[in-house]
Amino acid sequence: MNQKKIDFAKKLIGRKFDESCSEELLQSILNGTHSLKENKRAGGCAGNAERVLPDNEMVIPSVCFSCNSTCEVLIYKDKNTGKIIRVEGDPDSPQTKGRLCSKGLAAKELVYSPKRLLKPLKRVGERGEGKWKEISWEEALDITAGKLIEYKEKYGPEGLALLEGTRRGWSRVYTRMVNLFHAPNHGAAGWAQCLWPRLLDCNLTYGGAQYGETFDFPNTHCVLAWGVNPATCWGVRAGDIMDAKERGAVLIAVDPYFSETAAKADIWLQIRPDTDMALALGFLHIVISENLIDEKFIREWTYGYEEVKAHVKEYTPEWAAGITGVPADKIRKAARVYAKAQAACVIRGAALDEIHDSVQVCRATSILAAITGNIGKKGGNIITSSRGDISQNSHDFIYSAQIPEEIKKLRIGYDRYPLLTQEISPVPSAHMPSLWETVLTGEPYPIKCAMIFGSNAMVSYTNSDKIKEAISKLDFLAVCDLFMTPTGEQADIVFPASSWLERNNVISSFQSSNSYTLIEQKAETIGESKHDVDIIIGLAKRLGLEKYFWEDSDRYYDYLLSPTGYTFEEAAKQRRLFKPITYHAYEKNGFKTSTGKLELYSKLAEHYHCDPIPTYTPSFQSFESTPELAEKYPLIMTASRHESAFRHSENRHQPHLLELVPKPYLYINPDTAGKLGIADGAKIKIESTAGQAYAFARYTEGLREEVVQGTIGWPGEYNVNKTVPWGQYAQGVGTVCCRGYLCRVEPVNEQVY
Amino acid sequence: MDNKNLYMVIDIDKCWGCMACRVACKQEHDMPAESSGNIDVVKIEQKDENGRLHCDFVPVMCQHCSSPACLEACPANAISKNEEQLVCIDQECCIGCGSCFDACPYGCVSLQAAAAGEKAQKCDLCISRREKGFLPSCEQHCLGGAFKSCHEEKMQELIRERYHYQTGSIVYVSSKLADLGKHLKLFAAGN
Repeated sequence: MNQKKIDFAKKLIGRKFDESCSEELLQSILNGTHSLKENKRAGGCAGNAERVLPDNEMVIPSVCFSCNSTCEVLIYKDKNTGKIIRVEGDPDSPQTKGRLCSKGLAAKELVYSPKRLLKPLKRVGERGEGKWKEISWEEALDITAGKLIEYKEKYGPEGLALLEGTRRGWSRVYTRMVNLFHAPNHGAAGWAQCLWPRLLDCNLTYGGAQYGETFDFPNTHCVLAWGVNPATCWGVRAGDIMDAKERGAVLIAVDPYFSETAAKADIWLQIRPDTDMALALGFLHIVISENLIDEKFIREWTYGYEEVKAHVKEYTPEWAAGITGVPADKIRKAARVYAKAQAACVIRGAALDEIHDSVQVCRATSILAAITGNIGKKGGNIITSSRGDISQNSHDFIYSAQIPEEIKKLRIGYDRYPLLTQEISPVPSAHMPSLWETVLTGEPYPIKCAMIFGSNAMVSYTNSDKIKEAISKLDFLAVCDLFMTPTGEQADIVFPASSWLERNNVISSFQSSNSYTLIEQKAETIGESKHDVDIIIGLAKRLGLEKYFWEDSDRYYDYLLSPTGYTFEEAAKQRRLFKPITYHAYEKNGFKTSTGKLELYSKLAEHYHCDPIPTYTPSFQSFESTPELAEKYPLIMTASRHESAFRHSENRHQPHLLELVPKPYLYINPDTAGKLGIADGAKIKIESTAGQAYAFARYTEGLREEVVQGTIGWPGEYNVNKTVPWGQYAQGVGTVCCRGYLCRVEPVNEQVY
Repeated sequence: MDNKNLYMVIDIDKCWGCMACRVACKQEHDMPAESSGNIDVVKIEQKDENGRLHCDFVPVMCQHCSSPACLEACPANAISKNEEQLVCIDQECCIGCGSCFDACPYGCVSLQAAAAGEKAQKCDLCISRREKGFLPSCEQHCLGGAFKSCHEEKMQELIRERYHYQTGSIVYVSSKLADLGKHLKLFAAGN
């Protein structure tokens, strides 16, 4: 960046800070005088003059699926060439009001990248050699389905690893095929690592597929952002939170790093990585001991309050301060603000999912929301299930019961990680680290044939060197992706998938809009690439499962929409289908737990041999739990940063995004770096008990001296996942702890480029 | 006062630092990835006198100065002020000499490549979008809603009782930055 801009910005903002506005807001909550004001910007963008299009342009309304925010967009096309000119936010979208993040704005480059896969490929050289032959779809599907059948017959259905990536609207169709094929070893890098711990918490606490993940930000007085940084990875929520702040809501952020969200917070709780449980228990102690609870809600709608009350008695703020590094008074203030706000809403992120007590710590935050009366309340966390269309997330849809019991029990991790592998799981699926170990060792049985849709496994899985080794042991690997990824390079067959701009989709997700089912419409076709749903249907036909599937993806969307009375085409004309959120829905339907109450004490967790009430345990690796290891590895790594330009390992093919964050950074405190002789920008090596990776140092005062933060998703030697250790996993669910393990860093004597 | 003056109020308290504005701008003006672009977001981490850490994001774009140095410096008379008081470069007249690039104290003129003959570009608050009924692209897409293009009356309303600074059409506001613009004023006064 031009130095003149930097100098100007520094001079502009100066060095004096006036925190009186923020402090007044916090005080008004504490003394009960807080009120919300009108958002002067509400609907700002929509109040425009009539918009006109140039004669040569046409517009296709759609939905960006760069991430699960799924923001409504307008895709502008040249009428003459048929090419996409640009992608913009939709000013008429009730959810986004026209906003769109960098990933959506640069999406044209996803479509027209010269690196896109255009045809199915068959390996002709050695594995990984990069020699390919273009083949027809018929041949690619025939070969792959043939191998799946062959290996199923040879080694049993458990001998197949059928994996996928982040949810993109086709995921449960893939699961449906896998389950109908009776293959128990299904899964994804992220399931025990992202979102599912939150969903499992909801399953245990509220019962059934009811999720408290709808945030009533427009009516909230307090946003508690716990382990989440929407500004870089959940754009739609970043907009919502800033709107809430504009109305006068306060923001509390829990993050080891002074993230974009923490920087905007009225209270920032800088915890040590992976000590969230101590903080949550400290919150519960304060709220209960100071009687900041909703007694009526607790009495009428919860189960196990007395047990929780007794349990958290020992978890004082002073105790929590010792573990988390956050001063006790600050914890007290934050807990009081959250509990005293007329309505408060907690938004949790992958940071809670990716630590050593994932489900349990999520439970602790739900218990906090429940006993303060913030569940189902206007301005709080609203519990939602289906929105009227057919839910792909039900066990009926995925035919999870179809797999015979004796085969289910062969699923890797079945007994050890019941919350992930058994029926309570959002998708009953295998424990991934254990599955890769099985591929490597052949124990307890051989897995020789794998298929991976929409996942760059070599980069996305933790302890990545092991994945590389395991993949080299496979007899057959089919990969489906948009680009030739490091994982695709190891494959026998590669399917070219279409991007979101080249496909239709029906999106009904609480991660997106609070109250709309959204319709994504196809705007382009690139080469012979196909919608994953159509590829899956093609495979399913060849596996003899035709009767369970649809003619093609469009008929599938008709099916999903059937209860609404619209076909896909009709719904697309409507653009979006409205289903308002319902406050206090439990008053009518109760909770779907065995007690019919919201379970503060979870009987279901107990049934699965998990803690019925969240309990503090130290990190697997820490100064406290493994002092000898800490001598060799004196820093705490949180391998976690999602830069705003990228989603996971994606988007590096898009020059306008790569330009924003051109290198893999390791964020490090300047004092720590100085002691280690690491200059800002210098190349460094990161080492842990699992392996090593490289990065470029980026100084930040926003981390404690003993903490470093890696950025995820970079391939090869820069893949920080290579340093994430296996061996110990979260209770019941098997989460790998990626945010809070020990490492050391050192400068690399190499020319910096 | 000419009531056609256009302002862009930038609320620094609302900038998430997400860079959507930068990508939106480059797309709107069809600028390649390697271009310096018309807008950048500067991240500034600093501790206050109590040792408390702050991190602010400052969108930096053409200020549309009241007395533009670029306009003075242009040997081809390609730079002028329009009726909205925005500083505009006439692409027909620009000779690509880079004088404006050198003259701009804020580094907000963009030369797509260092090669001589490349014409200068800079922010015009998306005149072509506004003619078609759209907001400037940075304003529409901003995840924090930090930008607000408006006329005099609205601008005055948005800066009321808040720290603010302006050298031209861009008006920075904040409720927190007590020094906002103070050092620039001293600088402009010749200190």
